[in-house]
Amino acid sequence: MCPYGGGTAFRRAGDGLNVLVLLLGMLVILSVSGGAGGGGALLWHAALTAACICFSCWVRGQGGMVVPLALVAAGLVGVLAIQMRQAPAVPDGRGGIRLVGGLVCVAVLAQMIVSEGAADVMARLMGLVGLSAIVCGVWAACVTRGVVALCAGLACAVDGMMLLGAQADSIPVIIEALVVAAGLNWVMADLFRDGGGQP
Amino acid sequence: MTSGLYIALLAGWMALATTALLGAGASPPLRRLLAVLFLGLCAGVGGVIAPDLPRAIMALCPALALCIHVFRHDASGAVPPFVTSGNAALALAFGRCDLLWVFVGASLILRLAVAHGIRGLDRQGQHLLRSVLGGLMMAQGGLFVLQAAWGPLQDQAGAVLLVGGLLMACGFLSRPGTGRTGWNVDALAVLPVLAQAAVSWPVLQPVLTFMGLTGLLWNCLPQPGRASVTPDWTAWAVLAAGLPGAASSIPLAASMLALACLLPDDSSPQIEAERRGTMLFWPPFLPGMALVLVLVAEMGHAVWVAVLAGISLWPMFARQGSSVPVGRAEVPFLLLMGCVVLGMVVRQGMIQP
Repeated sequence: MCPYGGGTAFRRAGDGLNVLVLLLGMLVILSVSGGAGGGGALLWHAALTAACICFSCWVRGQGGMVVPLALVAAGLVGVLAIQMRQAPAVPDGRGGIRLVGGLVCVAVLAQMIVSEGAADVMARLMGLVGLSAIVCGVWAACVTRGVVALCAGLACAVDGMMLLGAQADSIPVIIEALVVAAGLNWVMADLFRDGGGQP
Repeated sequence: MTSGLYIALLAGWMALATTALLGAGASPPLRRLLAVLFLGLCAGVGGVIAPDLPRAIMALCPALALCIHVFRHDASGAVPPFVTSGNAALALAFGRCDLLWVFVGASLILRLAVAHGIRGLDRQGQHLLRSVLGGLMMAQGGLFVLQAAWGPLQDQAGAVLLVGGLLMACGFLSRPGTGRTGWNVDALAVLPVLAQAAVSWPVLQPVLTFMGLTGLLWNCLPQPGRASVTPDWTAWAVLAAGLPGAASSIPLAASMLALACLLPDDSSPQIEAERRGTMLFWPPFLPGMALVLVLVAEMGHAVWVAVLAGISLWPMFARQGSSVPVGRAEVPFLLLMGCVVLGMVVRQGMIQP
């Protein structure tokens, strides 16, 4: 259609953006996995997930209901992060285990998912990021002792589930992620109402 | 009769039971009546639509567990067991991995709301939230990889995530005293669906076998807070679910029956000691039938697995002979159930055509 191959160049630019977002996402996953409990990291993570889904839909030229649902999920996780900022910082003493475990999980997953000569590298990368977010988040939730860090880890996993749901264009998975995010918000609000912010 | 009608009947039963229990104050006779009604519904209708006898028996297990729970504990005002067992029966009726999160998640929400809604999460609530939500999300990730079909290595990663996540969600390998061991009806819903998924994705079978063996060996370790060593029926059922296709149905049904009928009693160790020695382990009593069937099927499939599983029974026999603590009234019932399983084997043979 375009005589100068502009369509292809545009697609390459989109892919480059996508890879950038994915790499940033991986870094943030590691930071959340290493120091779960901070509200700022979770906010940034949610925004990045939504941006990643929007870019992906834009590049693939399809979206529909996925983009608004991704924005809603980012809003829910953002509300969770803002609630979390009220919590006093309690040193857990397990940051090292979280970081090492998260790194091992990401390394093993990357080794298994991305193989040489695969045709759909983009889809695999996005799946890898979603899976890493889920596994790192669940790992952080399993290792920690406090409720606030538990919710932070699970919210990180919710972001991963959003990514996977958007990748597979599966509305039920996205709705599941929304329900879980709303439930985590409820747990957190309940905690601050009754326990005065004590995890 | 179609499965859609069955699902509608089950959902109607759940609505009816919840309404009746909430409206009439959940008196013990009413609870027993509703539990028996549920058993009849599952036996009658599920028997018609299930393709074969083992699947019909598996569909019966949540109702059986509810009946035993209701007849054993007379505490009034307990609605959640009815809803959770109805959820399990619905999950079995749909039989789809991607719908499991709806039912297991609904059970989780109900449990958290009833037990911890007013006073916030305590330690058990945190444990529940962590294991069920984390497990379900990991399983969703594994399902995504399996459905994407990227290659054999990736399928293995997805199978590990799916099986590990679902077993984590139903409290596999959790320590005693974490609130999950007493009434674990989620496992009754998850395991047959996993076994069905293992037919279409054979890569799940080695993962299931490995997890089952891990559970059996875990059960051998001495743990504080446990008065007696009883077989971990969840691990035996996982092991049976890992058998290849046609061989798995009868052993899986037998171990599911054992899982449903032998609910661990959360009474004091003293009462357990008084009850000790009332049930024999030998076939045709149900526990022995289940153990023998799983061991024989594993012997035909992988001898090493069968040997390891048999070794894991050793601490139990060494410590308390051939008996486990169980109420006197349950002995004839277990004999009857064992005879049902024996009849199934005699009629159909171990391997389904």
